[in-house]
Amino acid sequence: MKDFYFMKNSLEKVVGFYFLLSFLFLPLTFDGKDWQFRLTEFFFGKPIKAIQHCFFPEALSSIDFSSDTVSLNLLLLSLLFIAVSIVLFLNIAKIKSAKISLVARTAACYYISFVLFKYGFDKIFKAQFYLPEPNILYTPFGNLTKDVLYWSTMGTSHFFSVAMGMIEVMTAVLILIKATRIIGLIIAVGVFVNIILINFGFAISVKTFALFLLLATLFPLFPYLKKICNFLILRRQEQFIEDESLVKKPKTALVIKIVAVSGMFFYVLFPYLEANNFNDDKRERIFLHGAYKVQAIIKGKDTVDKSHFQIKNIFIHRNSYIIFQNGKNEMTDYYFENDFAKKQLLLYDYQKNKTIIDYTFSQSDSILILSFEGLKINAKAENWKKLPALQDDHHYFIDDVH
Amino acid sequence: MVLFLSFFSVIGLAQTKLIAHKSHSGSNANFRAMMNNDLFDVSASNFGAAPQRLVKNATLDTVIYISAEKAIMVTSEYCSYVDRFEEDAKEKFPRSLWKKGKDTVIGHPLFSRSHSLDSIKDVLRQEYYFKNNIDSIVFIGFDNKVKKYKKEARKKKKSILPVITKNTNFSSAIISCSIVSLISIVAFMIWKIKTFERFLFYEE
Repeated sequence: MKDFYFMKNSLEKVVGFYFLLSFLFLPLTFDGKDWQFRLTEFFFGKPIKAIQHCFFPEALSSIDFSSDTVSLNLLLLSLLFIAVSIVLFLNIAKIKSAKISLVARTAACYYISFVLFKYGFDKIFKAQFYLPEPNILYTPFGNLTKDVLYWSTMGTSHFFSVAMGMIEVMTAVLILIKATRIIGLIIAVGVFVNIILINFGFAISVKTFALFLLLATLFPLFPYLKKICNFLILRRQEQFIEDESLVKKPKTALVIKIVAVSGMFFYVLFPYLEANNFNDDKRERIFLHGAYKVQAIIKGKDTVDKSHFQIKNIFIHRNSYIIFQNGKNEMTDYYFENDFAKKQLLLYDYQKNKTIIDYTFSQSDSILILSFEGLKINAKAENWKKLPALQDDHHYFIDDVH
Repeated sequence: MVLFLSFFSVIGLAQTKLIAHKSHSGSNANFRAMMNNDLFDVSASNFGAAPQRLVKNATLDTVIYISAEKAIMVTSEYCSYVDRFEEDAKEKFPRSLWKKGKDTVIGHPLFSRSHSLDSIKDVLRQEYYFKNNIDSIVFIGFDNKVKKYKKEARKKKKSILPVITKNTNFSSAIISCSIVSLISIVAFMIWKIKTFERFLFYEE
């Protein structure tokens, strides 16, 4: 029995250290090369590159610990190995570390709350499931992969996105308040299970992180699992005893909490406040953004017959991509820079080859003319926002459908 | 001669790297090349949450008319968050960046004084995506309507916070109200209910 408790305590410490290390080193690169990425790269960049090179030669060569990359999974495995090593060392050296589980559980609650705030507000402000781009809207349904289909479908409903975001933000608030923490964690488990099912079901590449978040939510919930089962299933009266407080002085604890929560809100909300935009659907897009239907192609002085058109539609993506759609609905995309002074688009393909296209755009008749290599393409802007997928056809009674 | 490239502020789309790539109809074959070479905007996406990068933007401070052929532009950089993509792009991808400081523009159609100041501002607003408010740019030697410019600048200053302004749409007003309501409800609960009083005094 003594061995059982020793094993249980050791395991709890391993998990505690593992989560603490993961919260520190798993780079949530929401804002580019931030301190966390630099820290992880400094400590783990080279060893993980070496391991990946030996065991996963087919993996991506860049080590940036992106979602669902081999490097991210190797990082999490390495952290587990380190956590086991730390606990082994502490046990051998007989160093007391009884509070580590409590520290890790509290940290997990704040981490989960932060992640829920981030994803919740991204949904509320329509920045996660954004309005589908014109090139996606003009791609036949069957030609889209499941992940883009799911993301785009979610992006068409402002109501659903805001509602989901509200649930996530409310869950984060419940977790932060100690009295409602358990119910908050239970709801968070439901939220993350749903996300995992979606990510596996629709091949969305946030599987590892979603599983990590679920485990990080279960960890602080674990001490209460038995009582929750007793209460919900066996209908026994149970008393949920709160975790011991890390900070003994209530006022100090309150100040720390206020600072932590304010920091979270600032980090998550600052970009939106700074941009003064709270609905990404209405955010200003780049110049020329939209869908253009090719009307005429002129080669030298001859007009090419419509049946010989190689390009059916042209799309300008908000992230500075130009996409050409041919008659078979095949798409070719290029990154571009707009030289406004010369009225030129500088196109780059994935081999970094550069092509320069002259353009003119007439606001009055919405005609875009692209000229390159002796060709002139006349294309007219389409009113893509009028497509059925983007219409809010709210009805409760089917009688209202006409 | 300044190359008229401008960088606009983006919060960025929240998506995974693969969805980001597919959103512009990128093929699977090109995704690997994009990832391995850290091309274009691939670094801006990750766990499906919105990247908080705010681009280093050019701001146009002053335009000084010299002659029909020449004008001087004084630009500076507006910088909030360091942008990973922009940083990497400078090293890995050849592109001409706007450099801050004074630059002489030769033969620029916009600054040849053949347009009124209002239409110059309109074109700058629609096509150039400078970070700063176009009305805050100082035009020297152009047909400058000082009174109108000052009035507009004052009006715009009021809309910094996400409160209901003339530019605020209905849904953002609802969201702002919801956030305020949510905070008020939580504050009320903490104030009134004993359970929450316990939370206040026995928190970790």
